[in-house]
Amino acid sequence: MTAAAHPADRHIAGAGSRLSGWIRLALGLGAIWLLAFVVLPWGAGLGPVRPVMEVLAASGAEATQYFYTQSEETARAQMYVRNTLSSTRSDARRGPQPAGTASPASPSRSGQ
Amino acid sequence: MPEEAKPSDVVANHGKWEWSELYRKEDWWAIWLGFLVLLVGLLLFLPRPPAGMHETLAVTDAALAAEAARAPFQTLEWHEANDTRGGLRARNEPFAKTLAKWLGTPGGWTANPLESLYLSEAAAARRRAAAEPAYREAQEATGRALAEAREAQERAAAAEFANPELNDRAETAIRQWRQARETERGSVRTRATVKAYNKIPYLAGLLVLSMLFFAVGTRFIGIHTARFMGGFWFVFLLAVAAWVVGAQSTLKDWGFGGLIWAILGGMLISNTVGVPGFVREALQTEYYIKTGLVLLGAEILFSKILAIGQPGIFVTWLVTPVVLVLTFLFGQRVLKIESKTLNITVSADMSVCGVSAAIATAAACRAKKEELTIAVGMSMLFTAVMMIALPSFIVYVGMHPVLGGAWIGGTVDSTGAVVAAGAFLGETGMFVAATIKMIQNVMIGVIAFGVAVYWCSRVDCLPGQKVSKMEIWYRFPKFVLGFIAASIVFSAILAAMGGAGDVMIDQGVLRGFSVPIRDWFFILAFSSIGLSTNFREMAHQFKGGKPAILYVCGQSLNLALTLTVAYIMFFWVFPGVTESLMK
Repeated sequence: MTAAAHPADRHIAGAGSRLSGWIRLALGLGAIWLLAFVVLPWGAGLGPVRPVMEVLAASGAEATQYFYTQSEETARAQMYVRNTLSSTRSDARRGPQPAGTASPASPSRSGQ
Repeated sequence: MPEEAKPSDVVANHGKWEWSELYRKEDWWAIWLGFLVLLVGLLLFLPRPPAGMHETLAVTDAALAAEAARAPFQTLEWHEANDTRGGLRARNEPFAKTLAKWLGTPGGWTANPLESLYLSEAAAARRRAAAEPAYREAQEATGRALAEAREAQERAAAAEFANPELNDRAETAIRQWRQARETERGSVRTRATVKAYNKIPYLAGLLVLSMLFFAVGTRFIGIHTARFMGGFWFVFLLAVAAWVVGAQSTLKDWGFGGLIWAILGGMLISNTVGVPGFVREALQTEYYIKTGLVLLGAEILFSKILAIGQPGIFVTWLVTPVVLVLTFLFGQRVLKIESKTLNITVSADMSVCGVSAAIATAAACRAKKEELTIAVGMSMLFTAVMMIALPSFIVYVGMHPVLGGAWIGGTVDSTGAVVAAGAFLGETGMFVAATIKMIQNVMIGVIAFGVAVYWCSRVDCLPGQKVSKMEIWYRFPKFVLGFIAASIVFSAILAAMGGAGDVMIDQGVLRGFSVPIRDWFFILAFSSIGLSTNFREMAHQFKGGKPAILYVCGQSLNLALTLTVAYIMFFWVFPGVTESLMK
């Protein structure tokens, strides 16, 4: 906020610029409201966008997470990929197994 | 971050080391405070493992191996063992859930922002009741799919898994059960199990704790402690407001989370009504960001690099540095971007992993706060576009889910957007995308260190000057040492603990303690950035739209190179990995 030369002018200019500052702040907040409640919902309904948004909403994934440790899915993905690949490697090491051999140790409860 | 380039930013071989720096410099305080948090996390979690952890690990390991040997596809029992193992988490223990309440951010909302902070029992009951029919339907669908999968698997087992047709049917039925289970455990369950909450007392407690935590160091590093504490609450409130806005369902779905609202909110205040004078001493962007980065270092776990075998290493650790260097050179030589720090921050942000890479790189090269703001803003905008466009294109052309997943993981900036885009390709595509992104995330440790060394030795110096090793040490941003040390220490602990490492470190100390704290530190930093950023300075940095051109050109190269290398790796060099993932 800049000050005018004369004290009276400064008072008027100060009050004016303060008011215009608050008006600009209100306009900025209004723009955010417009984005959240008008523009983006409209965009989410557009042809090519809608299917992706529907999958996103149903999966519960959070697009705002910016690092892997914030995401539940990265932990699940890592577990799945690692167990899949290590199963394949141990298969390859063991060679062909007799078909129909029952699992000796299946966990009784499901996780998560 | 400095307001403008100062002569002191240039290395002139006059630095010297003083031991008092260890308690007088912000960088060292960031290290001490960061390590204090990590130490407290270790002391809280390591003595309290989940009951029967080692036995469960042994049983699930045996089951996974036995089931892999029993059938040519992943059986129901294999998936159950995998789920049991994934569900084993130290942060699910009661003490960790209490911690999570204290460290939690405001909750999600759709129309009423107050519900982000307070949800009455009546409102929670209404939400549960509204979601109950869909949840019950999803549960029934999962039950039916499981019964069908069990029956199909029994038929295949009766034929000793030697009948390919029965095996295929069992595999398909199991996949359908997994899909139904995914739906059941998605947002519908979250809505159907929502509980009443009041986050305000916890946020008030966190405000006091975080203020005292940072205030400890202020008197040593030349910040007026009383004034810092007098203004901190304002920065904290802006951070809470930013979390609230970012938790709005539509904004969240598009990937516009709290961090961007902290910057925009701060800028809105500082460029309209102005920042109150009492707040200025609390705008300690570097102090918050460097402490957060030391915590981020603990999340750079090197064992993650091997998560998807060699193809993942090639797709991320080969392509990413190449794209980073070429984009930076393009920015310098073709676009002639005035600021090298802006150039490298945007290049790292685009080629590595978005916001986190931008923060680490900007801090390592001492970029201006406006430059970090530009990089983060562009990353969020382009990520929102790519999160929609890339999976749509992949599905449209019928690309293989492993290739599509690797492409998404290597090119879309933020992890959340990668998961969201990957989910569109199905479970395998999402798992590949998320794993590739995780490996790429680990790169930021190397990138930040490399950028810090390069800047000290080549950029911040006089023309033709040869900088001595000691001078590099004097000028080196010391918090990077804490960042790297945290990474090495936690990688070593994780490796030493074997299978229990994931349960206790990744799913305990980190995700249950240091990650939510780091999230708060970063949003405090971003609030400070917003409150001290000038629109005009930003406009000057954005002159000619060069940062956007740099981003688009770099991302185009990234898209082409990642797709090519992913194709070569997953289909030519290591097709066995792709086959296994599609089992």
